[in-house]
Amino acid sequence: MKIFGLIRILFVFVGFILFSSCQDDDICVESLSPRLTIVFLDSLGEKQMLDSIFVDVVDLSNNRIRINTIDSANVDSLQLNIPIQSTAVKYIFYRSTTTGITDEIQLTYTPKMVFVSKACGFAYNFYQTSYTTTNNLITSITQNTDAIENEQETNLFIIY
Amino acid sequence: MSKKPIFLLFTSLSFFLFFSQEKNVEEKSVKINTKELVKDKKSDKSKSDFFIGIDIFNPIYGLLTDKKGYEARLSYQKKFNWAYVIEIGTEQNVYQQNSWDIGIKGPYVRLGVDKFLIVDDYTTKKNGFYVGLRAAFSRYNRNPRQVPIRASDGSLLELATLPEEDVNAFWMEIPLGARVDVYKNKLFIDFSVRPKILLGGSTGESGIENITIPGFGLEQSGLNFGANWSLVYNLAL
Repeated sequence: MKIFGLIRILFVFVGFILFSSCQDDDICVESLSPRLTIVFLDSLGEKQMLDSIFVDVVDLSNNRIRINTIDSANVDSLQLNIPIQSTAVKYIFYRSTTTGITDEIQLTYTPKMVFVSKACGFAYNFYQTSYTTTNNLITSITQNTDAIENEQETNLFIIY
Repeated sequence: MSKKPIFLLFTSLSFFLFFSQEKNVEEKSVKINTKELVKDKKSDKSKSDFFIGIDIFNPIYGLLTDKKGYEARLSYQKKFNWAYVIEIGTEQNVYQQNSWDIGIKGPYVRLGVDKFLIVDDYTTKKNGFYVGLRAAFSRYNRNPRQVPIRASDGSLLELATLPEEDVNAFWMEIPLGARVDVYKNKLFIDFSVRPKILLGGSTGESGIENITIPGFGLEQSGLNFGANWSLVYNLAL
């Protein structure tokens, strides 16, 4: 009788294999190549709501792309794409499309491939970051991190 | 992946059919030899048995998939219900999903014990069900021919090729199986199914974790299942 009990266990075992073979855990849930996270502050160091902000991104080959057009919406932060096949990028900030007064923030960095998971593959993180800015409308900038590794952390404060 | 369960079911069913045919004959022999049982038990203590075998399941499975491998086993039984087992093998495989293209190849080794719980034939004590434990290790070559790099939103940024590297992995297995005589108490079939639990390993220069491993197969949340269907020859010493 014990033999039959064991046969039953073996069948359950085989059934479990049939079931588990059909399952796939290949869903990417981890965070990947992060964007640059910027938070706007006022002169008192409090978060500042901007009613409009426009950003152009200019890569090393001087290709200029409008990447953010946030108009008539209150924003206190932005996330900007970082080109991976480059070591520097220039962001041009407009407070309004009509005044024409702009500020340029240049970001230099070292991109590095990092393994995330089987489902996600690799992502790029950005290290040794440094920033320079013009001071037309921007009062100053404060660098918060030396590396850009996730999107939860603020990398740069801009004080208008 | 889809062919594996069907094949597994077929081999295990054929095994059970085979086993049930054997049973009637052996029950008779149990009755006849009851008197000799006590004598046999005494002599078993001094008797040692070596079993050598080759796996048939994985080479046949390899005909249907990219996973090619061979495995041999040697087990030693001093007392009839405990077996010390070594399994060595070599395997090559590819992983081509989610924009990956990785090739692996290398040897592996498993060491462990099998505890025979139910012995079916009291005259020889070579047929029976067992549960076992294995510690396994593989050092293998990995060739990441194509790796995906993804943007913030999960879209594919680019595909890269990374250099070949030697990495390793270690894991444990819990075989649940049976051994049954097919020819004159000399030739046996040893069938087992086994959950495999990945314990660790190296990532290499690239940082890629173990994805598919010789002797382990495709890692799925650190787990996998395997099957082994070996022809085993008994060397009684």
